Amino acid sequence: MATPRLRISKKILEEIDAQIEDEIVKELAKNLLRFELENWRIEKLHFKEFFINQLTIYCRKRMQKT
Amino acid sequence: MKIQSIELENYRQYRGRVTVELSCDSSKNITVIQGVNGSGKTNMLNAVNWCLYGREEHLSKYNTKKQPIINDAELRELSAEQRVIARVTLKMIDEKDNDRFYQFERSIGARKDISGRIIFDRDSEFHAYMQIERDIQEIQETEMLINRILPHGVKSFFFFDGERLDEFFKEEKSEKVREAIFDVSQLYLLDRTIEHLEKTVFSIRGEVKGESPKVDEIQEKIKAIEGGLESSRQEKKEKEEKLRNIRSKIAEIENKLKDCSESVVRALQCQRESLEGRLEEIEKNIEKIREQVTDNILEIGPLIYCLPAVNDAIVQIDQKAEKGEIPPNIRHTFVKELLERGKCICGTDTKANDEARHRLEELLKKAIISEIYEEIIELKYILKPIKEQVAKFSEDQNLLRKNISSLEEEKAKIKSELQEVSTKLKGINVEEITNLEITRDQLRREEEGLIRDLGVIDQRITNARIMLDKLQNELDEELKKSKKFMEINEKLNLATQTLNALGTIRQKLIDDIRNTIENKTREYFLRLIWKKETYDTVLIDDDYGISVINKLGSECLGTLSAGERQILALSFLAALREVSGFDAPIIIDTPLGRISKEHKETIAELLPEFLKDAQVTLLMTDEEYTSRVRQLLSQKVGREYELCYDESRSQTMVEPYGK
Repeated sequence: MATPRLRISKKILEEIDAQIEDEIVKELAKNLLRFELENWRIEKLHFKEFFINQLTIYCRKRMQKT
Repeated sequence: MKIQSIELENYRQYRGRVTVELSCDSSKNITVIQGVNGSGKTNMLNAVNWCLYGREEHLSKYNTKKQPIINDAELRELSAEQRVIARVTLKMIDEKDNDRFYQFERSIGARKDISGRIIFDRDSEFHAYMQIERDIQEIQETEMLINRILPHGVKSFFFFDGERLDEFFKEEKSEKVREAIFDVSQLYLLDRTIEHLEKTVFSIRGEVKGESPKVDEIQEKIKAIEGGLESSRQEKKEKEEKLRNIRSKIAEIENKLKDCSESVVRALQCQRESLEGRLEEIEKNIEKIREQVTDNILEIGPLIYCLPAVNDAIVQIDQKAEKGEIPPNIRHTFVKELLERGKCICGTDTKANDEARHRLEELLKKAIISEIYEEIIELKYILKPIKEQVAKFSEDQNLLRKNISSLEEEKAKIKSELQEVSTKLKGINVEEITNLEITRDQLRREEEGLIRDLGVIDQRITNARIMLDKLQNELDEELKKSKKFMEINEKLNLATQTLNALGTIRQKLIDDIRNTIENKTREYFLRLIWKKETYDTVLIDDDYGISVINKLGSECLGTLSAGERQILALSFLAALREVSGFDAPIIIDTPLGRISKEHKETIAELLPEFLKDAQVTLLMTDEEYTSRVRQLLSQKVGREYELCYDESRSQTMVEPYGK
């Protein structure tokens, strides 16, 4: 059985690139959207663990930079 | 995406297997299928709908006995213990994806048992296949794929019945359009990410406890408000769902009344629709005028407060002028120069003569005051228009109020006429009609109640959010005071920045999409409409509801003729197509059915230009596909068919046109 391909819309990606200057926020936003898209069909999605994990990773990246 | 062929097997009047190949040639993008009433045109449209979505949405009003999908004759001739299947197969290609091939199949069966009873399958079976490199594989997420080709919510703008164009602009339709646009633009994806990020932020904040009594106190308050907010959101979701159901039930009842075999019922329902259209127009116009009244008050209000002072100033200026104090009779620069030179124009040496110098100094003081008077005179000409503006304001407001009250009167009259229609329908001596009308009445009341409830819930949510924002800011301030929470602070900071960015992007996308659809619809409508002097603009609100504004500034959607509505619907369709990127084929049943002869030809002439990049299939009667219309479309027609119904065999054959 094949599954149709999933992509974040070009328009959203373009807007993210145009509107967000901070590279860390940009990357984080794309990751969160990708996660949501991949789990689109799951109604009761356990998202918290992934979201907190992502925030921790990117927050540490930012703290290291500064 | 283009449909290569539609294969019908024992589907309604198509007995055996019938294949209709559609034109996939971009330069000749139109396929015409012509047939007399009852020959199976609408069922061709139904077949496509049924295959992709499992529903036939265009059942004819003549189909009162709810005939089964499986061909009548096949069912009649079925032997005991035998089974028959009705199947619709669509073969499609996606030109934007290297001509990728797709096949969609839906079938339903029936069998005759030993006692001669026909037992139908409860559900239809659906399969979808996709070409992956050289293989054809079955698709798992069929719903997702169909949603990508043409979401359920917008399909009625691509597969539609020309005679039902009125439905295009009904409220429940605009909600569906909005939903579909959110869907294909992935705005729901943004919504869900934002919602989950907000919940994550809430949970991170919740981790902080025991740092200080102040932090704990704020946490408690946040928790209480969040709890309330969550239940309000849930309540809102439930009520919105209920409202959608009620609206679709009302639409169902209204369709039944419109298709009823009793002509008086049909006429009353049509009268109601036209009255409701007018009522909607009036309500929009009243709202518009009220906004104008408020705008005027905001603009002129401050000037009204200043009016006594303005009047006083004008009187004083006039008095000074009468006394000859203004305008000034001598310029102060001239007197100043005399003093500097030390010599008066009469030749007196002012340096040596104290009295003369003193006189010039006195004159200088007066001259300076006189200079100010010059500005005062100018001021008079600034103040006078203010006075006139205020006077005009009262006139304007009175006129606007008069307009409102005359519209209110008309509104009351229409409401009472609507009441009359309802009473007449209830009084018709057919139990089914009476019951339908009573149910409709109850549903309308429920609808009104739900709309009110939703307004209250929205207000509750807004208040809670304001409160929550305030408390969260307080909490963040408290957390900043402690080094222990540095990482949590950073996380919250990052999450807030991401939330703000996603929120801005979401709003920008919504605005962009809506504005573009509005601009495109307006552009097409004004270009194609024949009464160019009548209409001024087309507006689309945030919920994708359409308004047409005439040159007098009034909303007039409800009074557009069938032909004008057709143009509006086609304009909207073309705009939606362009903006949403749905490259779906278009199938129109009886596209010129309700159009007068001269406009039939105008639309036929414009149609190819209008839908130039789309694959278009037109299902037309012989009265629509006249020799003139055929001639006008000829450059763009790639395939032409004729449906021939053989009554003796209960079967429709598809033949090349004119054979």
